[in-house]
Amino acid sequence: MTPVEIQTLARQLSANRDRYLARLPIMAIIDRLDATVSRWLDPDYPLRREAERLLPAVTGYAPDMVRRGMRRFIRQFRREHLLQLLADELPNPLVLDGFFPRSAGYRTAAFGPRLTAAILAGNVPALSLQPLAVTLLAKSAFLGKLAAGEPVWGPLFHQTLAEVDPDLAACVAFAYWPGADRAVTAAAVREAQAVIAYGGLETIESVRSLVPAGIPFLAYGHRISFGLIGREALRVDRAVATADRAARDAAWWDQQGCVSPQLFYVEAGGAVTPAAFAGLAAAALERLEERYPRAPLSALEGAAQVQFTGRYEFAPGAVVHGGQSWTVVCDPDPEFGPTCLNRTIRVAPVADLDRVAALVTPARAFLQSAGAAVDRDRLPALARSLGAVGVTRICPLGQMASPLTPWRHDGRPNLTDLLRWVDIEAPIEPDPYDEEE
Amino acid sequence: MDALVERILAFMHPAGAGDFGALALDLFAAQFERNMPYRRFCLRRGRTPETVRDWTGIPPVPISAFKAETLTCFPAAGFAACFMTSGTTGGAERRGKHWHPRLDVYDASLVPNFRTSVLPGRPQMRMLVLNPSEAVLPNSSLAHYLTVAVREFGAPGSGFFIDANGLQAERVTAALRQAEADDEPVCLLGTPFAFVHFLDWCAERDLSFCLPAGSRLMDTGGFKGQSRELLPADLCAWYGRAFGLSPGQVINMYGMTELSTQFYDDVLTTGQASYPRTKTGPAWIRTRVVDPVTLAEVEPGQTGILAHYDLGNWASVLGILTEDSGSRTANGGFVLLGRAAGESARGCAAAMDEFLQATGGRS
Repeated sequence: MTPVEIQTLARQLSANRDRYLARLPIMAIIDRLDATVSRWLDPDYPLRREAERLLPAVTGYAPDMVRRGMRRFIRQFRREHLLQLLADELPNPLVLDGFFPRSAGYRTAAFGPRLTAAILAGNVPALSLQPLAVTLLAKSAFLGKLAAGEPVWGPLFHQTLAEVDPDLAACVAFAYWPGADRAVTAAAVREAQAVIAYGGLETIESVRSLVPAGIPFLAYGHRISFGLIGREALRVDRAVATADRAARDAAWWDQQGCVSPQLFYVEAGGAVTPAAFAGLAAAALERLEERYPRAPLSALEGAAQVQFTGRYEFAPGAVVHGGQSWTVVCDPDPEFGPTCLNRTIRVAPVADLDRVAALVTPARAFLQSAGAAVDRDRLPALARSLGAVGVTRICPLGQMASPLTPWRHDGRPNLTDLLRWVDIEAPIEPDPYDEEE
Repeated sequence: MDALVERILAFMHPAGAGDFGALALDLFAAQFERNMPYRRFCLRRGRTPETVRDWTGIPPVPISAFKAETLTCFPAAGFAACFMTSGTTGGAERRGKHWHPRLDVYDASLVPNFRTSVLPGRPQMRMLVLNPSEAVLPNSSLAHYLTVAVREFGAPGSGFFIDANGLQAERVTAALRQAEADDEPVCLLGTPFAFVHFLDWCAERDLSFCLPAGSRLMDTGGFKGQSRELLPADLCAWYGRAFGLSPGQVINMYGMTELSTQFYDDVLTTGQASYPRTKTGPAWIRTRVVDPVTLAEVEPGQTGILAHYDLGNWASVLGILTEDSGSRTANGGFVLLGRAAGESARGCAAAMDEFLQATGGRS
C-alpha cells in the first residue's frame, strides 16, 4: 500500500458512501448487518468455517476458543442488539434519516462522517465488528487498517457483507500496511472525517498526532482489568465454581484482551482462604489447558514470563503455582499492577473488598473491567466506589471476556461520538400580545 | 569457599588456566550449600549438586529475583559494595541488588578483560569518563567499573566529567582540545545517554573534534526509559562524525549489575567493525542462548534468551537468566538483539512498561 493507493481507495469509499449508504434508511442498514451476522451464526457457513480454520493458525489461539469466542461476540450484533444500541444513544433513531422535531421550534438531524478510518488491533478475533457496525450505523464508509497479528477476520466478514449487499460492501475496505509506514497512515487519516484507533500508547499517540483538530478521534488504549472475590463466594460449596469462573476469565484469549483480569482481590475471612483460593484457581487453569491450550509463546514472551514468575518465586511470603501454560502467584502485597499476561494471574488477599477502590486508584488511567463475585446487595456500594476511581465496567465474575452489546467501551458512547447534529430553527412567530410588534 | 575463590582468581590471572566446567560445578555446589533462597529454587527444579553433571544443567536465576530477595552466600557477612540496578521513582526497595562481600574478584575479572578488549597493546591511555565516579555513585557497578579502569589504565589527564551537578561539557571540550594539541590519543568512556547529551551540546555550538590516531570510545548501556532510541550503528556513525573516529574505534561494552564480568564487541581483537557486532567475554564467563521456559539451547543461529554463567559471581549465583535476546555466533560469542521489555505486546491488556511509565511505579 502506498499513500496514493490509500488515497484513491479512501476517495472511492467516500464516493460510494455518498451515492448509496448516505441514502440508505437506518432500518435498512440494520437489516443488512443482521443478515450478514446471521450467516456467521450458521456453523456450516463456509466463510465462518474458513475463519475457524485460519484464525487458530494465525493467532495461535486454541481452535475451540476461536470457535466459541467468535460466535459469542458476533451474535451480539443481531438486529435486537443494534436496535438497542441506537435506542440507548438516540431518543429518535430516525434522526439519522432526516430532520425530526426536537423541541418547540427545532428540527434536528444527525450526520455521520463520510469516511471513518479505523486502526484495528489483532489481539481478539472478530473484535473489529464493533467499530465496523457502529461506523455503518453512522452511515459512514469504513476503512480498516488490519493488524499484523490478525489480518484474517475482517476481509472474510467483508465478503459476507458483499454477498448480502454489494453496494454496502463497496463502502467498506480492509487493508494492511505496516504500522511503521506513517505516510500511508497519514494518507488514510487525511481522507477520513473520523478516526478510531486501538492499540498501545505509542500507536495511539502516533495516530493522534496525524488527526487534524475538529476530527473526532476515538482511542481505545491498553487497559487493565481485575476481579473481586467476596467471602460469600468462598463458601465451601461455592469456592470451586468461583475459581473456575476466575480462571476462565483469565484464560480467555490468553489474557490478551483489555477485559482480561490480571489480578484477583480475594477477601479474607471466608471458608476458603485467599491462599487456598490461589490453589483452586491453579487447578482450574490446569483443567482449561486441556480443552483450550494456550498459544505458543514467543521467546520474549517466555522471557517476560520467567522474569515475572522468578521475582515472586524469590519474594518472601509469595507462593507461585506454575503449570506448563499458566501461573498463579499468591502474594501478600496487594499493590495493583499488571502481570506478564498469557494466563498469569496474581491473587492478593484483602481484609475487605471495600479497600480495593483505594488500591486500584493509582492505575486510574488504565482501569477497565472489574469482575465481581459478591452478593447482590453488596454490589451497588462496591460499584460506586470502583466507578469513582476509573473502572468503567462491572460484571459478574465468569463474564469478563464477553461484554454485553451495546457496550460502552472504556466508558464512551458508541455512536454519538461519531455524529454531528444539524438543527433547523423555525421562524419566530409574532407574539400577538406584544404591542411593539 | 576460600580455596574455591583462590582457584577462580587463578583462572582469571592472565597466565592462569583452569577448567570452566569443573569450577562452575564446584561453585554451584558451594552456592547451593550457602545461598538458601537459591537452594530452594534449585530444589523445586530437582537440581542439586548430585543431579547436575554438567555446568549447562545449573539452574540460572531470573534477574528479577535480585529485586525480590537478597541473593548471597554470606547473609551475615559485611559488604564491600551493594550494586543496584537503575530504577526510576519506585523507591530503592524495588531495585535489584547485588551484594559483594569483597571486590577483589570483581576487579580481577575486570582488569585483564578491559586490557584485552579496550586497550590491547597499550599500558595506559588518557581516559575521559562521561559518567560519575564511584565516589558519587557508590551503588553503581558501572561507576565502580569506570573508577577501576581509570585507576588501572588512566594516563595523566584522565578524569570524570559528570558529578552531582551534571555534565561538565566545557571541561570535556577543553580536555579533547588538549588531546588534539598534544597529539595524544584519548579513550572516551560513558553511556550513550551521556554522549548524546554532550553531542547535542556540541551541535548547538557547532563544535566537532578530530581526535589523534589511536583514540577510541567505549559506551555501555542502552536508552531504556530515555527520550531517544538510536540503533548502535547510527550511534557509532554519530560518534564518528563528532569525534573523528572510524567505526573500528568504537566499542560497546555489555554488562549487568547482576554479573561481575563484562562482554565487549570483538572489534579491536578481530577488526570486524560492521554491525551487528559479536559480543565476547573471557574464559570465566559462558553464555547459553536458550528457550527461557525450557532452558534448552536453541538451534545455532536462532534467537533465544541469554543465560550467563559467570565465575565472578562467586558470592551470589553464578547462573543468571536475562531479559535480553540474542543469537549465538560461531566463535562462542553472541549477537545481542534487544531487551525483552521492548517487544510490542500482542494484547490490549496494558503492557507492563507502559503502566510503569505512567504510574512511575516499580520495575
